[in-house]
Amino acid sequence: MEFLSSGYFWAYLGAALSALLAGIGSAKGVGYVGEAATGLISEDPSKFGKLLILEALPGTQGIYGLLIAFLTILKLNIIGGEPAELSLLSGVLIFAACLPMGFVGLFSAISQGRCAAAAVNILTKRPNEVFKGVSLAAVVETYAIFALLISFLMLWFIPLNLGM
Amino acid sequence: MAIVKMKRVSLIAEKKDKKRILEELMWLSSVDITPLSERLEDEKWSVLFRKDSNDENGEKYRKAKDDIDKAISILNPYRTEKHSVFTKPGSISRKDFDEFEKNNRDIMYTAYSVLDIQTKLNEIKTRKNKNRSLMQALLPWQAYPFDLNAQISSHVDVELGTFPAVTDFEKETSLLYEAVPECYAELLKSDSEQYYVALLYLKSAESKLMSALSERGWTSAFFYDMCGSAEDNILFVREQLEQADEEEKALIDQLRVYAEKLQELEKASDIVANNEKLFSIRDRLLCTESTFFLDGWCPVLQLDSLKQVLEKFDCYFEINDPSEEEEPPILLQNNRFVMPFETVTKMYALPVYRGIDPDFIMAPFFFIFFGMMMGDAGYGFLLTLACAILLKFGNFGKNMKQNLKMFLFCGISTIIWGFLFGSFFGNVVTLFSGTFFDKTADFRAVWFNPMEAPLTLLILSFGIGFFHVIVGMCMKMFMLIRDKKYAAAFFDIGFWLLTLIGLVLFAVGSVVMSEYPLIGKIGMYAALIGAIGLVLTQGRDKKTPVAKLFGGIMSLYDITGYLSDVLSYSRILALGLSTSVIAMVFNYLAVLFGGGIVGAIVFVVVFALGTALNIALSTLSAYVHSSRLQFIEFFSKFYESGGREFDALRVETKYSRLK
Repeated sequence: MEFLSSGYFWAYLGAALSALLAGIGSAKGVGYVGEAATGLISEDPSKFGKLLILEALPGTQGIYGLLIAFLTILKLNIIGGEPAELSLLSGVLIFAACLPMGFVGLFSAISQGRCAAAAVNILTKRPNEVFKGVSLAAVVETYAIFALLISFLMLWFIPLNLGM
Repeated sequence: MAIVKMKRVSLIAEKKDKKRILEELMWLSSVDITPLSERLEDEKWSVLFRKDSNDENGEKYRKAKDDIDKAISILNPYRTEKHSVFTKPGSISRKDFDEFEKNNRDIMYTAYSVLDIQTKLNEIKTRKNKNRSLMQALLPWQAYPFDLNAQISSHVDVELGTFPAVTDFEKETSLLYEAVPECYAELLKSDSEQYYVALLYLKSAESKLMSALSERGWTSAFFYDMCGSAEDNILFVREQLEQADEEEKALIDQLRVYAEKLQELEKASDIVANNEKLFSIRDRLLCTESTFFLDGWCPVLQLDSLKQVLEKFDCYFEINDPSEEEEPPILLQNNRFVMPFETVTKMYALPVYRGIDPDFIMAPFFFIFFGMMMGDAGYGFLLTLACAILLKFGNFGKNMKQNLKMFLFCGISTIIWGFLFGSFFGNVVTLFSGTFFDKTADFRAVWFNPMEAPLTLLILSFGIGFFHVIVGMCMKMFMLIRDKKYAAAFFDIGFWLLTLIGLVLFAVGSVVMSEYPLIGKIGMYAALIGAIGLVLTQGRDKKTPVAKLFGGIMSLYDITGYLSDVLSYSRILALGLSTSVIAMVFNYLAVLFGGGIVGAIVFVVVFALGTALNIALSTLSAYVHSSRLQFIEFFSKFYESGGREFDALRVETKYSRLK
């Protein structure tokens, strides 16, 4: 269990969780909308473009998760450089900083997926009003955005050598 | 810069002029005709009038339009030039309408011929399917040389059929011969599922054979109504198929010829659709034996031309101001910069007639928010360029054009913010020069780089957000004062403005500008006066003094609402960062292979894909979230919505452009 005392382990775990959980959420959310969309496409293939917008909405959480994971990697200077010195405490803090994005990403993407899937009905019945459905689904994203913000601020300002 | 003033037009005219008057109104395109059937519930009206109706002529036009549209969709795949947004549409004018009225036999003949050909094609398709499945059934028996339904002799018969191919054929037959020695099975063909077998047997053993066969899973093949061998039949069916192919080809060639008339058909469809509308609009009129009554809304500016049109006829009309309880339809009018942003308001809901058109104040904020959220000069440039090209060369409807113009403006805002934030396709300048030229070039921020100073952008976002909310509240105050509701204006909004602005001044004064203590002090007193004012006035609807005081104190709790409104603007920072970081991710991936030829190729591919993806995603988020900030944080402060869109009787075309 020696790895538990390595800062890098915790930082990597955080980055992985952020990309992982938010990615799972987005995959599920996008999946819901995709399923709901196929029914409509079989009736009217010309609505594909608008459906794609609806389907893209729950996809953003996965991107935010990727963002935080990437920023972690960048902060540790792993890509194309000497990896930075990282203390255990800083590593654990980076882990904590990644959590909001991971968890909020997971659940908000699923909820947003449900909301956008329901908005497919709007597209079926009143195609001109579909952007109201888009707005409704976009409100769900607010919390993912806040999570991204707080994860970013927490992550960006952690010194790497705390408690060394 | 506002909601267009409307007047109510009421018209009584002779029935014989009805068609021409409606036609003139359609070409004038500025009267929204009100449906009147509700008035018949009132006895005063029902004694005099009955509902006008759209007679069988309307039905005739609808049928003609359906047929033409069907013909168009049949011909569409045979178009010589492919259709896209850049295809120039045919033009159509009033003259075309008149000519069509006089002579439409040719074009209708074309439409019916096309429909006729389609029926024939469908019939051929069914025939081909039938023949193809027959062919499938016959092919396995090709090796059987005899007549399919003939008997061999008076004692011997032959049966064609299949065994499931689960066991070895030898084993299968040996088992069969054991049970029924008076037969012989010849394997004609086998595939993965079945053995195709001709079975010779003595007629005397038929019943014994049949029971043995059913145990072995035998399925007889039947060829009713066929004479000749399988080979003969296959040849015949093949001939039939070839013939059908030829017929089909000939018919499709005919369709190709007709496809050259597509533009005429499309023109005809537009004309017939509008003529049909002239009939269906009659549902909204009332009539007597020899007159009809029409009622509608007309924008004040168009009144003169309306009068000119109506004076040509023998009719009586009145033009009135809308009464208090009437809600005229909404037509918005704004300058060239604001107009494209109307689509954002329309997406939410139109204002009420006596309310305010929020576009003039919403547009600049939308412009700024969008730019900050996307915040990249390179992306802004591409977005602007794409919209400009589509606008210049594309062929779009009115709404789409407005949307494109809006994105064009937003692209310009994105360029401006991109320069301020020092972002050009993310950090590509630094990475590219470092990888390929071993130099460090920078795209320097004119103001500050949010990646380096995110807190500055966060505070800027809150600041703009706070201003946005305050402007919304001022709008509300203005509306209340206009409606002479002074108490509400000063107590409900004024005190809150004082409190909020005071609090912000206090915070700014004591934290940032501590060398000027006066600012903080002014802020503190303003906030205190505002808060005391709120406590004293917000409970004014309550009955007892205690309830009044309690209501006043409770109202201070609304501060959380304002707080969460302002916090919501932090999404500007988050979305701005997400654009730059996604760009950065792709840029790092693009330079992963280093310099050199391979590196350059990888760079171009990854960079192009990444940029395309990021622009699509960021544009969508920036659009949706800029709208959201307007709808939820801004409109909720003052906007009264619920108007109906002005929908004039006018010529609407689906395919052609009106001249």
